[in-house]
Amino acid sequence: MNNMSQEPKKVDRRKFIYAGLGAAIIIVGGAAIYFATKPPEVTTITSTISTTTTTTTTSISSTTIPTTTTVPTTTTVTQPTTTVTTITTSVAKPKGEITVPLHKPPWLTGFQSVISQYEKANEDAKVSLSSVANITELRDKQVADAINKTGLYDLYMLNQGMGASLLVLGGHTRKIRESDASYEKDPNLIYYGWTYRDNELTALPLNANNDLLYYRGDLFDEKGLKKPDTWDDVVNAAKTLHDPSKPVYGFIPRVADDPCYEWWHMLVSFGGKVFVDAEKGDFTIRVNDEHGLAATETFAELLKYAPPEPMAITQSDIMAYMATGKGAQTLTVYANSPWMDDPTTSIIPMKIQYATPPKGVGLPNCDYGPIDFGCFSLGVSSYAKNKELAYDFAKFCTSYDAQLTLAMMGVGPVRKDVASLPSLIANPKYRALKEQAEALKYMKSLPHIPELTYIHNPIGKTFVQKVVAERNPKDALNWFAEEIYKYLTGQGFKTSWTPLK
Amino acid sequence: MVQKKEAFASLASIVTLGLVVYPLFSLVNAAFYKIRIIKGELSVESVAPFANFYRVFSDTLFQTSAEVTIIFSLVSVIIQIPLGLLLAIAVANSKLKRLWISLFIISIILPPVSVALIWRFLVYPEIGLMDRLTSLLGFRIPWLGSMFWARILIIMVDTWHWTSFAFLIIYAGYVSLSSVPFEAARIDGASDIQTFRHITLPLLRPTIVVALFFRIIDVLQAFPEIWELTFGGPMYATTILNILVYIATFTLTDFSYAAVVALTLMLLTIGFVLTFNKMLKR
Repeated sequence: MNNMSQEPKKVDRRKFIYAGLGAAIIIVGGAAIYFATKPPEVTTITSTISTTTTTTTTSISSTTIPTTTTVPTTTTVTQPTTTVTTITTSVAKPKGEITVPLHKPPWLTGFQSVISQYEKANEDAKVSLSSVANITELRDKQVADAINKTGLYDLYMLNQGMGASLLVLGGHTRKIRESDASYEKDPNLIYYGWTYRDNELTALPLNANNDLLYYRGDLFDEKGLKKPDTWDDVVNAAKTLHDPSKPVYGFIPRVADDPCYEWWHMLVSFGGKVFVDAEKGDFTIRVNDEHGLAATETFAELLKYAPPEPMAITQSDIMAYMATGKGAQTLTVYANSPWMDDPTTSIIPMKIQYATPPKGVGLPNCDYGPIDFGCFSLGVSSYAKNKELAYDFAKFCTSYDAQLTLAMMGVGPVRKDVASLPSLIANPKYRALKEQAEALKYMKSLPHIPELTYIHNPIGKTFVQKVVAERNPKDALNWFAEEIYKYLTGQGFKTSWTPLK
Repeated sequence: MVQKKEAFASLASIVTLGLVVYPLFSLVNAAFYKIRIIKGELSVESVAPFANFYRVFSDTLFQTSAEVTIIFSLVSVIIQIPLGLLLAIAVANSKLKRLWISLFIISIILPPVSVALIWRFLVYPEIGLMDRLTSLLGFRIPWLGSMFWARILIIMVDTWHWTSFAFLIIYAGYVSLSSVPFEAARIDGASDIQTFRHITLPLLRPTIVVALFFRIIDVLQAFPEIWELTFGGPMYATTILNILVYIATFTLTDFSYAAVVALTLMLLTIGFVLTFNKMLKR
């Protein structure tokens, strides 16, 4: 149990010195061996611009994507072939290195492919991705970089839900004309309203990553359900398909992690708004009016058909539920669609179908509900160390080649010519793209004010969690309106709110 | 030799001044201004003295966070120290000392994020082992979905992760105790409980206080396990003061608020340290 007290041993200093010398020799020797055997960098120099031609043959006779789960057995689909044309140009390309922050979105692989494409086309350029843990940290680090003017990032990854308006309206992104005086807007591109400052464009679009409704086409066919068009259809389908014994859950909500996009889609689909008229400067809060109540009641209704503990469900969990066949429907970003068909990540490949985010019914101004909250643009930082290269890369990302690469890797393109490419749309693998092209027609934006990001998260996220925890839409909405009011008055806004009775 | 010591002491003082005193001064300074982001720009406004303190202390989020912090830290430590003591005594009297020590060390060397992810998988509804076990018994515990159970969960995770630390400190103290008083007690016919109560505990008191000291400081600074496990939720149920500082700084960008919370946390920690110091001297 107890040891007798012992006399302290005398320490032999020489042993420590020898141990330290030994460690130093190992470290220096290891480094020397590493650098001596490091393979030389490959420097193949070809200045190319790639163009793609696609040849696709398919035996699908109908031009509409079938909703059945059977894959046509005689379909022949070929991948687009790429021809590389070497051209010479007298314009010097910018060189050097730029840093772009990014979390780990579902479209990461597609973006990395675009970076590789760009670096091959411009061998003197390097685009480094600075990885952050999640999208909230992406916002926080970009805002910190902007406020402190540190110039850590050359490009800002702008997303309206996560601080785009703050960065743009705060003057932290350069106007496009400052980088390129001759820039003319491309009619093929979709430009987001929240990338403007003083009516001037300050960022170039990267992807169209709005939400789509994902649903199990096979289960719908079994039960004779039609493709959801309204939220009533979604609730009805959730009720019909919900079977915890299997388990199959009628609707998978996203609640735990940032951001909670779904409710915002519901709000706009029921004709709801955050403010009476933000564009005209009327910031009277109306998020808790009848439109907000209809949206929240629909959300609360769908929670009845959610998995146990919806409070724990993150975006990754949504993907897992759907890909393992446990989810009948969900609303999630376009970029999650490739995972649903990949046999290594999904046990139900080709069974998920897609629809435009549904519309509300029964109230004025109801419409389909896609919002550009989840979409991304690239803005050159006002404090970038390599502004020329940053702009060149951002512009490359809007090119046909880059957008086609993104589209083929399951990322929503911002080019209309790519989004409507017949060979892509006709391919069952890209059936989500067809719905995406449809959704883009109804795309809406939320108010373009810096404060929106904090209204969305943390206030909005806490509101959604309150709905989940208390299942009292009216109380939760009144709380939400009051919190927005308190926050905005603290920011110097003239605003008011009225409790919903 | 004496000059070398003075030189090193001066260098250490300069480094300390630069790395500790200056940031502390900035923190206190920030608590007396209103520093936040307005319309995308940093704004610094003068406010009445202590206006920020009033604003923060009257905020329900801060009040909830302070309450959670005190409960979390006290309950965690109250569980970990006696558990560490029991484990130390049990291991010291075991024949497989080295095996047990090796096993207990595993939890300490795991990175906090890994611990959080492991536990998140364990308690995840339907697929988590713990959830499945409780389902077999006919009930389910909403670990991540309930404010109450989320708080229990973070205490459990912290206890699992750091009890071994308390164990190691107490074990080291226990095995270095002289055997003379224990032999005398045995000869006098004292029972195990009497020996534990009247000899072991008093002799181990300084060691236990040291373990308490380290654990309370660590638990007040807990962040990665809680953040990765619950993100401070649901609805800020597990947002301790340390996490509130992060949220206030990076999410709310209200730097004055964060400064006040950080100062409060610092004073709380200093209070505990002084208390334990007094206990050590007694």
